[in-house]
Amino acid sequence: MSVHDPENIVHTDLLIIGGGFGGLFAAIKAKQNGVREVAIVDKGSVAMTGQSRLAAGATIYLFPGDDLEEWAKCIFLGQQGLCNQDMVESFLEQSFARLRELEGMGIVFRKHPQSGEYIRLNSRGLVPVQMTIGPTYKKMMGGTALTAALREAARGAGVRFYHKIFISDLLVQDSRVHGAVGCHRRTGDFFVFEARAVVVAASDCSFRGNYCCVEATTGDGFAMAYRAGVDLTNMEQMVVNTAPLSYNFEGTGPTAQAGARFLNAQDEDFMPRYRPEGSAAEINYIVQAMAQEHKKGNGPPFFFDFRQLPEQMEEAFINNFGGWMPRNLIRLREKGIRVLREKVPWAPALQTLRGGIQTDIHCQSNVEGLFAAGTAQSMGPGLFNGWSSGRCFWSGATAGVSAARYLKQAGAARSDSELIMNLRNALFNRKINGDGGEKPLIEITRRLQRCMFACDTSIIKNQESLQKALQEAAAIKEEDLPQAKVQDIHDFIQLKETENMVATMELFLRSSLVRQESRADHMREDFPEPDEKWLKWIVLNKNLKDGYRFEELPWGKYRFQPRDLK
Amino acid sequence: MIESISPELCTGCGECDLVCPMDVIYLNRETRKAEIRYRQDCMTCFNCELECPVDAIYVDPIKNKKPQPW
Repeated sequence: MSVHDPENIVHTDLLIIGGGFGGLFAAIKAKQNGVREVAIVDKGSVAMTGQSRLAAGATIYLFPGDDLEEWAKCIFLGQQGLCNQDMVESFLEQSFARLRELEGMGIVFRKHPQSGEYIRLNSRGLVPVQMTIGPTYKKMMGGTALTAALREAARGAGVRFYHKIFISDLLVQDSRVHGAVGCHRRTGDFFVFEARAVVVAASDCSFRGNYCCVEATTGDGFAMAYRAGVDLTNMEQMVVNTAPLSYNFEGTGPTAQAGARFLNAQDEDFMPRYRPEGSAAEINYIVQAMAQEHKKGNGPPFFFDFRQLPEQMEEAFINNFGGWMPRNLIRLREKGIRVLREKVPWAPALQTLRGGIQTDIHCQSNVEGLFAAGTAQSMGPGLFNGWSSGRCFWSGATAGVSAARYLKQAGAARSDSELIMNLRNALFNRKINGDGGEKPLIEITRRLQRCMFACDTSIIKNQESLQKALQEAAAIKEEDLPQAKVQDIHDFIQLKETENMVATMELFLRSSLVRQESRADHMREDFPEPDEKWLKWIVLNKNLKDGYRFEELPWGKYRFQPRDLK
Repeated sequence: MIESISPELCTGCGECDLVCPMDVIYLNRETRKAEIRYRQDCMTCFNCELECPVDAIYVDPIKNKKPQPW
C-alpha cells in the first residue's frame, strides 16, 4: 500500500489513540464492560515508548483510613483553586481500587518486611498526601513494570494493538466522532480507523525539551483535538521541570526531601527565601524562584547540591529505582560522574503542559463519542509527585467505562469519504521523499525551542513577550515549515510533529495572554498576584468567535470555596 | 546519546527498533542487524540498551544540548 492508495481501513467499536497509562487502562476497562472490538494505536509501540514507560511509577493512592477531605484540600490549594474538585475527589476515591486492580494484573507494591504494610512516601509539596513508589512486575520496576503489566492485561483481554502509526486527525462530523486517520511511520501508508467511539490518550507537549522522558511528546492529541472543534482548557498552565544540564536524572523530589539543596551562582541556598519548604517546594515554585534569582543577577549557573546526602544514596537509587535511571547512574559512574555526591549544574529543562481536552467527570468531551484520558485530558495545574500517574489511571479507567456505556446505545460510525479525502490531503501536504525544501527540521525545532524555553515565554511571562512569541510561532509556521527539508518518512513524521508543536505553542501563548493574573503554573510579571475574579477556566475552541470563552467554576457543588485559599 | 550497536552481537530480534521512542533504530531486513539510523534524535532514554537481550547496545549518558531559558 502506498500513500496514493487509501484503502487501509480498520473497523473497531472503540479506538484509543495512545498506548500509555491512560490508553491501556481505558482499553482494559472498556473490554471488562463489554465492548467487543477495542484497538489501541500508537505512534511508537503500544506501552513501550511513551512517557508512562519512562515514569518512575510513584503514584498517589488514598488508602482506607486516609482523610479524603484533607487530601482533596491539599490538591485544591496546590492548584490554587483552579481545581476540578469533583474530578479530584473521584480520582482519590477510586485510587485504592486502581492499586488493587494493578495487583490483580501482577504488580507488586513494596511493603515493610516486618509489618507487611505498604511503603509510602510524602508527595513533595502536598504533605500529608502520600504515594507508593517502585512497583515491580516480573523483573521490572517503576513505569516499565506498570506499562508491561497493563499491556499484558490488555492483550489478554483481546485488545488489538497497532504500532508505529501516527494519527494526524480525528474524524468528526455532525458533532460526533467517527474515528481517526493517519499514516504508518515507516511505510507512509495511509490508514483510516473507523470507530463508534474514540479515546484520545496521546499528548502532553514538551517541545522536545531537555529530558529523556519527554522528547516524543509533541502535542499531537491537543492539536488534533483543536482542529476537530474539541474544547481545550487550562492551556496556559505549563510546568517547567528542572534537570541537570548534561545528563538525565529522576528523583529530585525524594532527594530534596532528604536534604539536597538548590544553590545559585553565589552558592546560596536561595529557596527558603521564597518558600518555607525550601528546596522541597513544588516544582513551579522552584523554577519561578530560579527565574527571580536570574533577574537579580544570581544565576546562571544554578546547581542542585547532593553533597549533604548519605553516601549510600547512590546504591539506594541503583537498587530501588526502575527503568532507565539505575543504568543511567551506572553509565555516569563509569565516566567518573557520581551524581548523588556532587554539586551538579542544573536548570529549568522540560516543559509539561497541564492543559488539555476539557471533559466532564466521565471524561466525555464536548464532541459526542469522544473521550479523553491520560495527559490529553486536563485535570488542572500542578506536577505533584505521584499525581501524573494517578490521574492517568483515573482518567483512563473512567474513559473506558464511559465509552462502554456510550457504545451500548451508539449507532454505527459513518466515515464520510469527502472528509477523509480532505484530511488525507492535509496530512500529505508535503511529499515524503525530497520535496525541495532546504531548511533542516532540527533548525526549525531549535528556533521554536529558543522561543518557548526562554524565561519570559514559559516561566515569568508578560504581555509583550507573549505577543512576540506568537509572532515567532506565526513566522515558523509561515516561513520555516513550508521550507522544511523532508528527505524521507522519518523527516515527514517529524514535520507533522513540528506542526503539532507549533499549534500547541499557539494555544499555550493565546491562553497565557488571556489570563491576566498569576496562578499555579502560570506566572505573569505584569499581573504578579492571583486575582479572585480570574478563578475561572479559559476554554479554547476554534469555532468560537474569539477562539475562547470563560467558564465559571461550579462553586455551588464544590466542597472548598475561594475563601479557603486565604 | 546512543553510541553503538555491535553487529557481531546483534541477533536481529528487533526489540530495540520496537522500543525506541524517537525512531532512531531500524532493523535492517536484509542484513538482519539493527542499525542506528538517526542518532541525532536519540533522547538517551536507555530503552534500547535495557531491552537488548544480548547487551549489544551502548548508550552514552551525556545528552544532546538544547536551548536554555537564559
